[in-house]
Amino acid sequence: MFIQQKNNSIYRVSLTLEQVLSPFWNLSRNLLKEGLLSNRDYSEYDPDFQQRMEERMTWCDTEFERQCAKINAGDGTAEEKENKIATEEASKYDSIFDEAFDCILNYYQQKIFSPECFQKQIKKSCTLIIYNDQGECYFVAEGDAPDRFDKEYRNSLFSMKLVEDFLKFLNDGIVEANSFNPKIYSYVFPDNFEDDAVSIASPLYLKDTITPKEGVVREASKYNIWFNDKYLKTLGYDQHQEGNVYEYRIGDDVIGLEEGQYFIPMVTEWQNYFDVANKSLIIWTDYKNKIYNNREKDDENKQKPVKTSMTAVEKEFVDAAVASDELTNLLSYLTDNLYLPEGAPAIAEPYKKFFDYLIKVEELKHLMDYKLYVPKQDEGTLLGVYKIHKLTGEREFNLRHFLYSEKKGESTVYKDYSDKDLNVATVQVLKPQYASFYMMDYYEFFVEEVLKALKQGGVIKDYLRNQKYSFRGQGGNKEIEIDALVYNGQKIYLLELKTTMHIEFLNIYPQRYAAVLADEENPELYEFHLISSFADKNIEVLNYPEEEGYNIAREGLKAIPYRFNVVIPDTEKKLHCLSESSFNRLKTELTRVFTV
Amino acid sequence: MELVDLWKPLPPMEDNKELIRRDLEKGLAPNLPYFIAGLDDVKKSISGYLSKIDSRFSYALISGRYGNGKTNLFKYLEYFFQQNEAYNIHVAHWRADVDKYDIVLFLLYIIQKRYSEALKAALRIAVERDKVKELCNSYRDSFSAIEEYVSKIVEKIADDDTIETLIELGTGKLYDANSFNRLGLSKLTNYNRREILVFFLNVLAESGYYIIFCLDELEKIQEKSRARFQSFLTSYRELIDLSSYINGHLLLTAITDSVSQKYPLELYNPAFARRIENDKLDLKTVEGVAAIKQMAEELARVLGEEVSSTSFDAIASAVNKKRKDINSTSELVRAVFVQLTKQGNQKTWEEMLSSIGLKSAFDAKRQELIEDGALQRIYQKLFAPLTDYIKINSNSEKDYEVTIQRLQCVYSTETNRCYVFLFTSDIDANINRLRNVINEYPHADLLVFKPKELDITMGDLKERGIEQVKELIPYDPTELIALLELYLDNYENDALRDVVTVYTHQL
Repeated sequence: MFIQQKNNSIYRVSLTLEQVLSPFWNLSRNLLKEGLLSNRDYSEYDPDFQQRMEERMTWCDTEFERQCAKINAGDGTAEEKENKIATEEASKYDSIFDEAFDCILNYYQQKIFSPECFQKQIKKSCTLIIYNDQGECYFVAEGDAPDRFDKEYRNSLFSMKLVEDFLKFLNDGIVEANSFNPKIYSYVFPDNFEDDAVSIASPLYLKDTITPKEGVVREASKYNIWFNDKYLKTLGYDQHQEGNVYEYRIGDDVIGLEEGQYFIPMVTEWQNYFDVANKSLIIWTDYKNKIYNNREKDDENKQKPVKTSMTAVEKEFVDAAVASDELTNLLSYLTDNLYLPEGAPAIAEPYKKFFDYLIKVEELKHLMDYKLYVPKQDEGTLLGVYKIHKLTGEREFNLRHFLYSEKKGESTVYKDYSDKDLNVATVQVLKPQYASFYMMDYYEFFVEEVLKALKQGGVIKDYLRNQKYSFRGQGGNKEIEIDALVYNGQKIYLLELKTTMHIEFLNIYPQRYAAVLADEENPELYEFHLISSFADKNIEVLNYPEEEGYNIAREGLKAIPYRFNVVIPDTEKKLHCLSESSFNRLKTELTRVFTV
Repeated sequence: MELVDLWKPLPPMEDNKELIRRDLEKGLAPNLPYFIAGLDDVKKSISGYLSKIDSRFSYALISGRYGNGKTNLFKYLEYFFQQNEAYNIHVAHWRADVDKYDIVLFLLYIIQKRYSEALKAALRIAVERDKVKELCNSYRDSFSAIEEYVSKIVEKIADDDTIETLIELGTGKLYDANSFNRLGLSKLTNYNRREILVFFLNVLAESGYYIIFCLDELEKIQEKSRARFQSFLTSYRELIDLSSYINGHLLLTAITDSVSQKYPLELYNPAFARRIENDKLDLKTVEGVAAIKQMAEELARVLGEEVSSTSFDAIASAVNKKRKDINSTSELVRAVFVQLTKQGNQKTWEEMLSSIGLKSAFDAKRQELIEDGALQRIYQKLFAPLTDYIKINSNSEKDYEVTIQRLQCVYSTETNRCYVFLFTSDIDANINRLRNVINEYPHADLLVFKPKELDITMGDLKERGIEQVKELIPYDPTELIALLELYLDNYENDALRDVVTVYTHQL
């Protein structure tokens, strides 16, 4: 199907705090010697350290004696022996110094790997953070996030004033340390995150969809999970309830975690270890996590942004169409999806506000390809057309047209300035606020209203609108925009929405979907629909037989409503075509489609 | 313990032959754990340690440059003891872990991971023989701290589950106070775990079960952080101090000499340097006609090449003449292979570059890059000119997908090949990267460019179930950057483009 464009990755974060703190520590050790152990209070870093240190010192002292005896009994001059003993003495307590420094590092590390710190600093870049009290920490985030972590974490270390705090301890609070430049922390964070990353599709799935296979162990985990609520919201998940964390393991390798309603994969090939009761839900989760969506391109041929919301007046129009077939029936009489020609039914009062009475002017000599709409008025100037540059040899005046109207007895005549009568008609045209909206976006929003109702009614689980994906077509990757994806719990429906269905579409779309399906492993999970408000007259030649009120003229409707299928080549699938303008009928039809 | 036939050639595994051949043809150092040519002094030292493996704990630090066969040595030992199970000697070959920089805790971690079943059985034997106290230095001195813990093991010896938990508490897999409380024990500290390690190793030795711990690539810890490496050496030193209490086993640690040359151990940790002084093994590049001949004979045997015995002399002397161009044992293996199969008629990219008179320009460019810090964020420095190169030489933007972040690869939609560039020497991280690329392009053929410090072979990839890699190409990122930039300066020079094409294997 679609090419996976985005990955989430699990980044193992291993801090090297010691890179920043060890120079201060080593300096203090050189200056204070054993005083650094005996004259400092480590209880804040580790309450048990003092006791461990005392026990250990005895061991070190004994070991030192033993080494001295060995050196003295060994070969070498007196001076050599003296040197060796001096070395031993200087490094007698090395392991205690290391342990003391380790306690300090652990203390700071736990502070850094804490929900409070994540909440304050990391909420921009991560979806989840998995951590434990042993300093193991994994960030789960989109593939391009590492640059952001770096900055966010450095800021967090800076705002925690770690170095200042540490210096205060080292110099026993005698000197207040000043603020250090945040750059000092740049060594704490590795710059090769990408190397260790484990690639996964979605960062979380609903736990109920999977059952571990035999051999997978599930037990209470030493890991904690921090969920970024802001991210959960953008993914459309509920806020997460804290609970016990469980881990799934194969031998010693953790392959996934579970907390509350979520399952979090920890390895790329996690699906090998689980039975998936409902594969479609896993796939749908991946769609929701936008892992197939094309990346936003920032080059110059950026396409027009997808319209995601309506203006107040547009909404009023859609609401009116949803409320009654009267308006949608009237719209079926639109010519050019724009105006009601003479002879169309009268516009009922509530819908008059959507239309203007205008004069349509056609067949102007210099504007043969255009229809002009000008205000209807009894007398006066309407429109002038002046050509700035004349071609060589052109004999016409620069002023090509100048339209006006004048009263002639009871009626009004429309003329060009050359006194020629014009080919005009009085028509009712959709107002500018509605006209382009109607042509481009109306039906998508209209159908969304149906989908909202179906979601609320429990017919479908969820839907997505206007998604851009890519697939591997002949001669390279092709982009495709899907107007709506619908998920009913079992299958995923791809909807192509059109204001008017044309006969060419019945050729173009099946071929496109055939290419999309070419490498799909689970074609049975997908259905394809082409849905339009109205159908062009050219569909009539296909002569589909009447079926439950479709493929035959309907009272009040100018266009024929259609329902038929077209084969998608090289597959066993069909493209289901429907043209339906009525909200209630569309709702009924789609309920039937989505109810399996 | 007397080890018969140690260092004798081992029978090669059949399905490995082709991989070895392919690696060699690509100029890679393959896994060749079937023989160790030359290195008589190192072999002698290790034989010495192994002769005492059932009575005392020995240790050694092996250093040598990249490609001199540190890993191969470990793999040989591993394979030898697999073939000779009767010795009951087990080789634990692990790469250093930058997050486990206390060697005692690391050894315990290995015991937990790999030998916990053996340890369980050994504990039973020790209790049956009533040897526990003796194996624990009779609880004298610092060993008194673990008496409570050890007594608990004796008490619960019949209860399998509890013994497992006790082992986990000992190795540090379980460490929280609750787990100790549940068994009525006071919590063990990491200091106590030094004595625990001694105890566990003694218990294993008592049951006649011996381990050779091979810790490879210690330089990884040093590269990550000097403070950690310092800590590592301190813990190593303490382990050496404890060694007199341990009745068996062997610890072999390996590090590239580039580290010890830059920062000698004496400066890092003089107390450690003094203790390891007599147990440092230097893995030199194999040299001398005799050793080269031996290598040729063994290689021919492994690959199944039919070569007459007089030819081996000719091969050895031909390779020996090129001695000054050979910098490591793996390069030597490759040179022997070329002679053995009479390969090498094709012009190399360097020869091509010389023949169009651009070799010195290239060298200058590369030098300049290195001086300008090309090694920092190197992947960005490579991908910038690489992307330009691809743009110039492709018909349409759709022909290639260049992914700089994370995957660091170029996918050709035309040929369905994916060119992956690796930069670091960390095997696990790079395997992860390859998995990520495969995840993105599951059906593509992967051509992987690996830096020379990365010790990885087609065999390693196969072992990890990675089948999509079709070629593993050794390269030097700075060379490729220099070549690309040189080309971008002279992009109308078709001969230069051919050099890039040869270097990049038709990218």
